[in-house]
Amino acid sequence: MSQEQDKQDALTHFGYQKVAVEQKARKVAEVFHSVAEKYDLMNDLMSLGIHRIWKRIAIEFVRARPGQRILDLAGGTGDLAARLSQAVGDNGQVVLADINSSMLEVGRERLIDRGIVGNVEYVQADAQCLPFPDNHFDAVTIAFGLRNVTDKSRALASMLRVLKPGGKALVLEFSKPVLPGLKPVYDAYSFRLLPRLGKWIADDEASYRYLAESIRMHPDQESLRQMMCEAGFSRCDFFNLSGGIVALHRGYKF
Amino acid sequence: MKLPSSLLGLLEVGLNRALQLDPDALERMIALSGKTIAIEIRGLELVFYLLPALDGVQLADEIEGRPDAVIRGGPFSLLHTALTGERSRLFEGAVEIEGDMELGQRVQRLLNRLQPDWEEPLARLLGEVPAHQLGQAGRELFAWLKRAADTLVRDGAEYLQEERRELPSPYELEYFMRGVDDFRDAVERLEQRLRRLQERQA
Repeated sequence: MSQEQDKQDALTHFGYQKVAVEQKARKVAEVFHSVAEKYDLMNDLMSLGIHRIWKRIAIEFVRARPGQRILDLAGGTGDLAARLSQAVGDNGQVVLADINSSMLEVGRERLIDRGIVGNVEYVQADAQCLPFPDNHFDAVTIAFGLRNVTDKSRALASMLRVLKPGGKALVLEFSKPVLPGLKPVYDAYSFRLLPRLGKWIADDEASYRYLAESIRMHPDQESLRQMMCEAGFSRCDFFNLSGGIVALHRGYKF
Repeated sequence: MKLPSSLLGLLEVGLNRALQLDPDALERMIALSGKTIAIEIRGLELVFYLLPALDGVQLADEIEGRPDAVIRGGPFSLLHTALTGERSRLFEGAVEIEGDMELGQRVQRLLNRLQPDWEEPLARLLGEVPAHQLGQAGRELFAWLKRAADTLVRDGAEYLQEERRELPSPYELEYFMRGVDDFRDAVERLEQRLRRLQERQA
């Protein structure tokens, strides 16, 4: 009985498939190695360009100030880091972290090409066990990254640990549409059109099917808020963006 | 009633933008970190909370426990005090503070005196001169809005007092109150007189 239980516990989601816990990270890594080069282009297509607005709104809530130290987790191609770097200025620091070396490389090249250098550092790190001291960052952001992490609670706890007291974490992630009538359209789009787009543009249907499926398996707004509270964050709240297709969650460390 | 969270978010972004352009106000807000202030709008039965933090102020539609201070008022009186910073005689007492009085007043003063320097971000974008001109226009617009709100409140009061006769004017009210006072005094004198007459009979 207990052996069966153990076996059950050791499985996790990879989209709609069940895979062993130790396999998920490798499978997610394969997806992102595969899409890294065309990640931004696909994001634009997938969200009709709206992901830029979602990210801008997230930045608005970071309220970064000169001299601050900010960690952008799963920062991928550096969209958030570029804006944060301007906001914290020369005396501040932005750490762009991603578990995936391909994504990190694309991000670093992109930022350097745009002349964003000096206050950005690049770290290949696992969100579940962050290689930073306690009470180190004024803010931690993770945009479209949390759903790919195997153990989300561990990642949240790790984010809390590296935050300074008074600092906050912002989680931008796909969520459950709450606007009436939006769900059927959204489902049709993400299960029929999206994998095809993936095939045409990135020649990688499976990766984009994983993206659509992983979105559905991600906890809804209230569940994620609850998870943040349980991880020890205070004043947890969330905002729905675009009718709940995406939600921005926030929690403070006190 | 709760504000829709999208509106609350918008309000939070706007308020923090304004705070970031007024470093003094931002510092004062940060100094209140950890306190909770409820804003209650009477009539609409609307309530939301200001939660000052190290990064400015967070708005929430619910909190655990009780707020440290409550600022309560009708929509017009709150708008009026927020925009003009003065409390006209008509609305004296219309904005109430409950709980930690000092905290409530500090927040009220802070919001009243918020003077965002809109020119600064514009200057970075456009250069000093056009930014200054735009800033000037912005300030004039802001002042006009304040006057408009002020006039709206005054005109609204006048309409209710003079046209609809729903509310008394301050003079009428004073006249009435004096009448009540006179009447009360007269009744008291009559009471004394009656008592004296009764005593004499006994």
